[in-house]
Amino acid sequence: MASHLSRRECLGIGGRLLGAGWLGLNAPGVLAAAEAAAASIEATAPWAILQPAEVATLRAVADQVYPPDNGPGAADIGAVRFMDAALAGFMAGALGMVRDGMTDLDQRASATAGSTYADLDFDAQTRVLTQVENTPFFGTIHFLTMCGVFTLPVYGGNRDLAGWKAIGFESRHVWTPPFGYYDASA
Amino acid sequence: MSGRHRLGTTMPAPEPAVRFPTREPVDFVIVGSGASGGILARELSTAGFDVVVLEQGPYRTAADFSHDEMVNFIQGEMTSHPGWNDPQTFRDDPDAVADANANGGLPPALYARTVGGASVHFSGNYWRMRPLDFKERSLLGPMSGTGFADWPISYDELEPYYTRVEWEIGVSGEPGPFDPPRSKPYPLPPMPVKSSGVLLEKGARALGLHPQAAPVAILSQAYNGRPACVHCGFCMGFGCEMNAKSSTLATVLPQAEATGRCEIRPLSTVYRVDTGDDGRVDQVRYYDAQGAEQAQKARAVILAANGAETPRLLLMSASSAHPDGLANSSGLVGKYLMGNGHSTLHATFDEPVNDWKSIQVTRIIHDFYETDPARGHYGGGGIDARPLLNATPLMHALTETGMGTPRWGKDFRRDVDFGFSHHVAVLGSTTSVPLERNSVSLDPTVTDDKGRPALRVTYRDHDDDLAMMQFLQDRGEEIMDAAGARRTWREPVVPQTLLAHLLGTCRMGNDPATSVVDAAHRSHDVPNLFICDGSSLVSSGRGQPTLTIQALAFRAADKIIEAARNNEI
Repeated sequence: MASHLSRRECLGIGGRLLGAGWLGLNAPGVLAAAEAAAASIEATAPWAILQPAEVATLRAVADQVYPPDNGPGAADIGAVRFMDAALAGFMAGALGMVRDGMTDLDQRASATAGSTYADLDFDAQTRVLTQVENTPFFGTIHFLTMCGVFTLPVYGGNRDLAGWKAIGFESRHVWTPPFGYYDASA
Repeated sequence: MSGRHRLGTTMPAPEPAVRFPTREPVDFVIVGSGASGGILARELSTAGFDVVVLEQGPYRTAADFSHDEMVNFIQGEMTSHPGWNDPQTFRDDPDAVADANANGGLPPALYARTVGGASVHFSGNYWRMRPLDFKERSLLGPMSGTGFADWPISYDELEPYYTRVEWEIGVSGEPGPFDPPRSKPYPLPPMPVKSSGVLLEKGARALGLHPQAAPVAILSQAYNGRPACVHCGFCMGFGCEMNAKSSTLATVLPQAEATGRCEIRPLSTVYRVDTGDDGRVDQVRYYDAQGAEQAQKARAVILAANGAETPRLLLMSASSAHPDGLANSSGLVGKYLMGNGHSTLHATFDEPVNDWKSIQVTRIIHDFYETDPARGHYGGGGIDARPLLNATPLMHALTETGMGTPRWGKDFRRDVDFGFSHHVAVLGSTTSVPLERNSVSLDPTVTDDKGRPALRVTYRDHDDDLAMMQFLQDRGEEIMDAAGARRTWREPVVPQTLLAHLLGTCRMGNDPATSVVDAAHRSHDVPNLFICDGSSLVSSGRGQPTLTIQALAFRAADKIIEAARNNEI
């Protein structure tokens, strides 16, 4: 888990999957996906593209990336709702690769513990995920998890603003000085 | 939080103040409505000339901007072409085949496509150049294998125009100990200092340095009918919903339209400037909002499309009279591309910094501005403290991870959760040595969806640029340590593949053999073709070029108006 994802690589994941030109052409898809996600934010709502077993796998991976700690983990914050909307919409091109990655995780889990990835305990999930942490699959899910935790709730994630609360962000348009501890005490 | 998620291509443009027929020549067509194009449009229309501004982006206004990171950063709404796929390619070696995916899909020449150009989404750092920037070649001597050269104009000649920019658009600041002479104070006091500025100041003073208030094109108080900044924090990469950022969209462009002589035509992508039998340019061809081919006739043309698109357009406008590209008898169109060097040092502090509030930069350090032979290399630069991409939640989470620290799991989460309010980035901005091999050219194989040759960037920072970037990062680390940082980490200093400052590609000079435009921004080859944007710069300055680009635009406008009135165009 010590490997490093540089700023350029991080942005690159977004760029490759959401290349500026490609998105320019497919921008209405972003909007449709956003609206669909907002409409399906209730946990009981039907899933757009993901099967129940896939939801379970992605919930497990999302919580590995951003686990419960200072508040709920990525799964309960709604990251998989965001992924469902994204993979059904503007990131449909990545769906096959994501499904292959999930199959691979289950095969690795089955080989070591005879269970699905989602049914492994947390530490065993961590060990399996470490084996694939440099794959495009992991990079994509990492990217989607961050989007699902930290973007506007209208995109399906960031439920109850739990992502923003975890980092201390308040969505207010107007601030007045002092802004932080050091300018307040200067 | 705004509930809007509007897409540029769907919004209606404001009704234009005037519509000019395309088949009747207007006095001037200006290609580009950004930092320089906006000023030229205002000056020429105010002086009584008819002006058409062709802008490839949509006409977004303050009401169209939002705080949506998916739209602004992930989708790249403002930096991608609104109508079609317009790829760029990149290579660091002039003998290599350029890669269409070098930055994972991000364009290597990054700029905004919207009315107002990059002045809409920039951070507004408004540093003047100093006298030495215009004559450094004479002061330091030649650098072999480079295009290191003096400007044909001096700081003294440009000073009144620096002052004009500051007062016309609204710049907040106060002079620092190393600033060049100025004929008037800043029109507005500096922005309130943030914790990142206080920490930069504290560390710098402990090291005997001289931090100063950052001059920014953002309003600290109401000015010219526009409100003061409300410190929302969504600044770099976003359009300002308050019109407190002094973009050309918020300042000179409405004034140009109010003359009734300036038509801004959005969603108009220029693909060729035509030359008549007399060797003069006579019309500009573009794709309109529906993608249909149009041509606007003009008595004179001004290119203000930025240091990447301006040379691309000149090279696309080759003809029998100009076989190597329009205005390119020197062969230098597109050459000497300079991007400014950038290095980043990250730090966290024990108490909340909250650098996600307010503007990017409130304090800068200019102690290392001048070239110091003791450093063993050419170059100078400035240091500032800012959130960079950590100003907004998603970009913070995507880019927070430090060197050697986890990028997922509980420790990662703790870094992300703690870092957002406790993080400071120290940015070093540097000179770029002008090199002929660093260029904008036409890709021989890749085209955009309209068949235009893709913009190809060939770039590798000079070793002295990299050394200067490293030098400033080292100083940044010392400053943050002296300020009491709990942890610092470095982004590796490597040759840049993504440039947001696009400079030097149609350089100004007196000799037609070694420059593209003269000291009045008229192309040496074509009497009624003018070029005024980042491409005009002969040297790169120390990292914040927009104020200089706009000072040049005010000066160019004076020269062009004088020539037009004397019937000398």
